[in-house]
Amino acid sequence: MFSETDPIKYFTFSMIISILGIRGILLNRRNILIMSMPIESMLLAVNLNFLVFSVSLDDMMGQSFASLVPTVAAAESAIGLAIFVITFRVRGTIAVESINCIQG
Amino acid sequence: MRLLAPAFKFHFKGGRRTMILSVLSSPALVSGLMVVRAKNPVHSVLFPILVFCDTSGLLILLGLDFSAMISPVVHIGAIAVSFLFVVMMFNIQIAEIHEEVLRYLPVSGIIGLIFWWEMFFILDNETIPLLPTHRNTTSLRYTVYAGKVRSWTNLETLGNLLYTYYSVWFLVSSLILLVAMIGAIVLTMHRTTKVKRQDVFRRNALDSRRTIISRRGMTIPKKRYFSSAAGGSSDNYKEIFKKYLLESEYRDFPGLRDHIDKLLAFLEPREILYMVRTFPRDFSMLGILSPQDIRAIIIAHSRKQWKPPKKGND
Repeated sequence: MFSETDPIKYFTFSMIISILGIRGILLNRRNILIMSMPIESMLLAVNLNFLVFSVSLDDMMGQSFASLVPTVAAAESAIGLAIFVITFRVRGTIAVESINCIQG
Repeated sequence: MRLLAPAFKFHFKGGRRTMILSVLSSPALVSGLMVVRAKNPVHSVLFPILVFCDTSGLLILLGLDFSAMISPVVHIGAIAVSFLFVVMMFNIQIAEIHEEVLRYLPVSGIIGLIFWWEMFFILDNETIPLLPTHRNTTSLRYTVYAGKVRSWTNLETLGNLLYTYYSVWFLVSSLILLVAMIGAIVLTMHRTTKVKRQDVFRRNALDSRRTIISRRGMTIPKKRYFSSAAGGSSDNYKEIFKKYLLESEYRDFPGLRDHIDKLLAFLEPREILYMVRTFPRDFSMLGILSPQDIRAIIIAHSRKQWKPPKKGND
């Protein structure tokens, strides 16, 4: 499987996607919907990481766990979007600057 | 030129797989950059879809066919579609690049640099192909002997573990999805959405004799009252009607038993029935009102002219 490409290339790819996701969260202040999409990208990068090392180390634990990570990703994105929807319904805007007004 | 010479020494070694890997991963890296910088919010949902597709291709390249097919179903079909729904539902304006993005650049730049620095702890410098310090080392080779004996599909290997030894994980993940579903519904359920609910107290105040069913015989006893075989004639019509009322479904009306003689004295039976059906709670008023008032109320109400008395009159 790894006769031609080595897992380091996959691993760098996954790591760069993960770092770009962190960058997307940090550098984006437009609205909270755009801020939650790099989170999904990060979860995908971590999933790919699990799978790459599972193939590379010939261990099935990585794949067993990597079939549960998308479950958590989907559940978390569903609830996050629901919270986003009611926030938008209550406040009428999705700007992130005053998001601490919903505390309490 | 001499500084750039090591970069030009990079030659493409390693055949088709590396080429496919590069071809697949480059749009994914660019899309990861463009997610944040897209002006149109729909574009910034479409770029992660590109990342998901490329990851699926990479998984095929790894030989994990099941994960490569499941990953687009979950990531694109569920997550990205949900994002698109929300983007379409709320009229998110096409936003300009925020001018204040440089305000966060110091802190986020420091965090980014820390991550970048940590990356070099993990990665071996010599195996990153594009850096000028790249030397001719062999890549990691790993011979999978298990594949030469009997080869299982990816689905078989996953199922061998996930349904037997780690079945608890499987069930817990289904519980996670159930919680997510219930949470999403509960969070966004609005009172004005079309959920037909019944306010029990309001219903009871309006029409209590249909809301509260007494356990003691819900139906009118099936007896013939008015036929000539039961002894009825036009003379004793009122007595028979009184007997009927006292045994009918209206027998428990508050005040009916007390005032029924008085009612029968000046009201016709059909007027009594009309009053029972329209004013079920007002029999206690019979001790106060005079007969002419009661008759006037019935006539006016039956002609839809009745107005409730103003407060302060009694």
